[in-house]
Amino acid sequence: MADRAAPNKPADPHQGPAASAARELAQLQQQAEETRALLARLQFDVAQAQGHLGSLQAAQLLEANEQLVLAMLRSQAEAETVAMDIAQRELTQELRLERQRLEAENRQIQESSRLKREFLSNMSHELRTPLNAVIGFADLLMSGSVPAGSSKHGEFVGHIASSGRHLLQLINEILDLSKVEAGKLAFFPEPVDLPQLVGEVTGALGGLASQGGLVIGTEIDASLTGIVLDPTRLKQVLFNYLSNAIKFTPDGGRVTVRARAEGRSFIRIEVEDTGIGIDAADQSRLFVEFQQLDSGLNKRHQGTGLGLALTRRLVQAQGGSVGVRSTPGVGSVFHLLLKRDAGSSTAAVATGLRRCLVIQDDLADQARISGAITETGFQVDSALTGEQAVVHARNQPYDAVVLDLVLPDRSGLEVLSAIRSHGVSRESPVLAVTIGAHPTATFAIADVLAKPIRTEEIVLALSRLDGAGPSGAKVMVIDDDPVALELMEATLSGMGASAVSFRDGRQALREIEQQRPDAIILDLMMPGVDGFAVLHALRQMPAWRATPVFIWTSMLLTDDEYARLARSARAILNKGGGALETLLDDLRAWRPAVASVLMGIDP
Amino acid sequence: MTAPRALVVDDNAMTLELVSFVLAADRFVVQTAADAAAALAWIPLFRPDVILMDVQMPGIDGLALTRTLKADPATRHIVIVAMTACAMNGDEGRMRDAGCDGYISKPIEVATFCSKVRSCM
Repeated sequence: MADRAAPNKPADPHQGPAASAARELAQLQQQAEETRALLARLQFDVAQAQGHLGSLQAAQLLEANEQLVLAMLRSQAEAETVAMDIAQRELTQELRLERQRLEAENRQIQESSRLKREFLSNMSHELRTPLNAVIGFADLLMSGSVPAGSSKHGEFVGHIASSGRHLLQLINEILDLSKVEAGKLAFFPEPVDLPQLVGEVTGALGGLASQGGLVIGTEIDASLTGIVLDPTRLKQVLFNYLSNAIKFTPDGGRVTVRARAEGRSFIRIEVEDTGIGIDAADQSRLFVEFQQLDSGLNKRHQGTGLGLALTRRLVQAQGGSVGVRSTPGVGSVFHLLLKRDAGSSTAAVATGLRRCLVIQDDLADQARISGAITETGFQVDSALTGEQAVVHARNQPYDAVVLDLVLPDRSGLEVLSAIRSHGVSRESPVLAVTIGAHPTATFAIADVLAKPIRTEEIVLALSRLDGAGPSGAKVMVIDDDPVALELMEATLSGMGASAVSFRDGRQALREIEQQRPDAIILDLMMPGVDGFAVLHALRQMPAWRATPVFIWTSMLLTDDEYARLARSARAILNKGGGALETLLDDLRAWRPAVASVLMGIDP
Repeated sequence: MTAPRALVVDDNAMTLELVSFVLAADRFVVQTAADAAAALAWIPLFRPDVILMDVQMPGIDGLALTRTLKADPATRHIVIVAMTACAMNGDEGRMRDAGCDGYISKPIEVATFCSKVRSCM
C-alpha cells in the first residue's frame, strides 16, 4: 500500500496540473487552427462570391458579424438570467402571500368551528331547559301523583303551556338570528308613522305594564317625519327594548319611549326605565348571544338570552347601531340609531343633473339600468366595453359609476383600476355588478350587487352613496394589508376625509402624537402589535382615550372578544359583505360627535 | 331509616319546582337553592345527604361549586348528582373530573329519576 500512496511523489508527466494545462493548450491550439482554417475558407468563399469586394473588406465584415453574433448571445444569456431571477422572486412572493392567506384562512376556520361548537352547546342547553319542564310536568301529571282538579294540577298545566311558549319564542329568535347572520333577512322599508307604530307596541305591552303598576310614556318629536323603515322589524326591536324595560322595572316605576332626529339623516329611539339598572361591567355583554346577566329578577322573568343580540343584529343589518347607558339602582336607557330613510330613492337622488357612467356589455341590461338611473335624475353615459369606459371616465367627472365586473375586452377589475389610477373620475364611487363574489375587490367598490340585477337595487345603492360624510376629518387607518389600506384611503378621500395609513400597530402608536387623527380605523389581525393591543394602548393614553375607533376586521370574534372590544370601540364591523356601507354610515354618524369634541378641546 | 335529605340547586325556577316535587313524592326531605351562594348558605343548616346540582348557572357554576364542596373535609361526604341540559360529548367526563358522583341529563325522566338518585347514594 505504502508505495502507491506516497504524498511527495514527483509529478507524473501524464498527470497533475501541468499536464492537464498542456493538454488544454494543445486542444485550444487545435481549435484555433481549425477556426482559422474555417475562417480562411469562409473568407475565400466570400471573396469569391462577392468578387467586387476586396478580401480585406470581407474579413472586416466577417469579424463585425462575428462580434455581433457574440454580443447577441451574451445579451440573450443575460436576459435569460434576469428573467429567471424575476420569475423566481415573483414565485417566492406569490408563495409567501399564498401561505399567509392559507394561514389566515386556517385560523378563521378553526375560530369559526370553535364558535359553532360553543353556539351549539348553548343552544342545546337553552332548548333542553324548557323541554325539561314540558316533559317533566307532563309525565308527572300522567303518573297520577297530582290529583286532577287540585291547585297543583292547574299550576303544572300552566308551567307546561308557558314553557312551550318560551320554546316557541326561542326557536323563532334562533331562526331570525340565523337569517340575519346569513344575510338572508329581507327588509321591506316603507313610510312609517312613528307615533302610531310606537302606540301599537306600547298597546301590546300595556297589559304587562299595568300588572306591575308601571306607567308607559312616549315623547316623539313632532318634526320627525319622512321616516322610511321596515315597520315589522322596527316593531320587533322596540318590543324587545320595551318588554325588557317592563320586566326589569319594579312595581310603580316608569318607562318612557323617546324618538328624535339625530343629524339630518338619522333617528334616535330611546327606551328609558326606572328599573334595577346594569353594572358598567355587564353592559357590554348585554347585546351578546346567551349572555344573560346574573340577576334574581332575570330568573323570575326568564328570557331567551337572544332578544338583545337579535335586536343588535337587526339594527346593524339596516346600517344602524344600538347601545345602553345605565346606573344600577336608578335605571337604564337603551337606544338605537337608524337611518331615517332606509329605502327610498327619491329623497337622495333627485337633486339635479348628476352624471353616472354605466359600463355594461349586454345591450338589454345596459338599456334597463340606464333607464332606471335616468329616471332618478341622473344624466347617464353608456359604455359597452372597458375601453370605452376608461376613455369616458378620463374625460368626464362622474358622480357615480356602475360597472359590470365581467366585460368582453377587459376584466371589470382592470377597468376599475384604470379608472382609479388617473383621470377626473378617479374618486367616483363605483357600484359593481357581478355574478360571483370578488372579496378582494370590494374595498375599492362602494357596493357590490349580485346578478341578476334588479333596477331598484341599483337605484337604492346609488342613493346610499349620498350623505354628508366626515369631510375634513383626519382618519388614521391601521391595517397590515396594503390593498385594504389603499382602498380605504381611496374611499375616505372620496368622502372628503384625509387618511393617514399605517401597516404596523407599533408605528401607528409612535406617530399618533404627530398625526393627531380625529378617528381610527383599526384591523385586528396584524403581526406584532395587533389591533387588540393598539386599542388597549390607546385607552391608556389620556389624550387618545376618547378617540373613536372603528374596528374593521375579517376575524371572527368570540363573545368575550366582542364584549371586550365593545367596551371601547365605536363600532365593530366585519370586512366584506355589506360592511363597507355600514362603516361609511358609522363614519357619517360619528362626524357630529367629533365636531363637538374638537370644539371642546381645541378651539 | 330516616328520610334522605336532598338539596336541589338550579337557576331555573320551573326545574327547581319539578325536581323538588318529584323527590318529595318519593319521601325525600327537600330544600331548594337558586344559585351557588344560596346553596353554600343552606348546606351547614340543612345538612343534605345528596345535592342535585345544575351545571350551567350564571355566576359560580355547578362544576366550580362541586369542586369547592369536594375540597372541603366538612362537605366532602355529600353525594353530588349533576343535572345538566348540556348533552354534548365530553360533558359527563368534565362533571366526573370535578367530583360529581352521578350524572342525570335533562329533560329528566320523572318515573326513574328518584331511583337514579338513590343508586348514586
